[in-house]
Amino acid sequence: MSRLSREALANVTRSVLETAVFLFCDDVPMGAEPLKGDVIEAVIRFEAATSGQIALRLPRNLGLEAAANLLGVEADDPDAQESAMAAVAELLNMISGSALKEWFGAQARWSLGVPATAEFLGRLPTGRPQSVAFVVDESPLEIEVVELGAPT
Amino acid sequence: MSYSILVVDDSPIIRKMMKRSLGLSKLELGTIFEASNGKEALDVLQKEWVDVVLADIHMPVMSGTELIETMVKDSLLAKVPVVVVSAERSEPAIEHLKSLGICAHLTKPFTPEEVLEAINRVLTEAAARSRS
Repeated sequence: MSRLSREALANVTRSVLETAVFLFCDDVPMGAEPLKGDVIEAVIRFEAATSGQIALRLPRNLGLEAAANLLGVEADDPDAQESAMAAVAELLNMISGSALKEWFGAQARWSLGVPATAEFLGRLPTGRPQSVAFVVDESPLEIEVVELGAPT
Repeated sequence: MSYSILVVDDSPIIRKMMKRSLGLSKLELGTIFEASNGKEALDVLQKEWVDVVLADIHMPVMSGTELIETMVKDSLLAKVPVVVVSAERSEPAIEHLKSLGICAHLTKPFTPEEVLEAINRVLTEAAARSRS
């Protein structure tokens, strides 16, 4: 069984979104719309006892809301408008730091990369995907960890 | 007396957030310098007077840990207080940073109040040291 617990990933995602940007995660109801359209994806690599990558995907409008809340401005503020991708990257950075502690323990050493952002590409390296989906302010959000095996 | 602060983070939104938080504080601020990695931070530190460094750890080009390791080897830069603000949660990594002499470690996500409290504490301690 993978030590990259899906439940732990879900818990830290909920906690970081609430604490950092005051966004609350709800479970996905039956028949909810999947992620589509203008989607931002952030990806980060890690190496610990095992290596892998974590991806966070959400619609641009939610990224904009996260940026505005991080900065303490309205969503139509120019600073928020130009910071949606950076906000998604930073949220992934925070989620990943917390997830690594949950997965490997506070006494472990690990290496966390720098988040890369892009328009949604829809492709990840093959591995053992474990994704968690939420609805946040009526928008879908997905976080996924892909285990890539022993660290290099 | 006004204080100059160097914010080192590869995330532009975190640098903006820090600047906004500092702007809302009661601190008398001089210049708030920005750097997106350790190497850029060293360039600023070699040219400008800086009272406190706020540094992330996971950055491209030169990490925050490498920045601090370089600073402690320099007799002048070793005296500049460093507050680490990062997503790092590995205790051995944090212990290593403490062994290098960082003044405080804040874990992301953080509140603006936590950052301001850390800066105030660091500046107060620095002022007390300079008087003694």
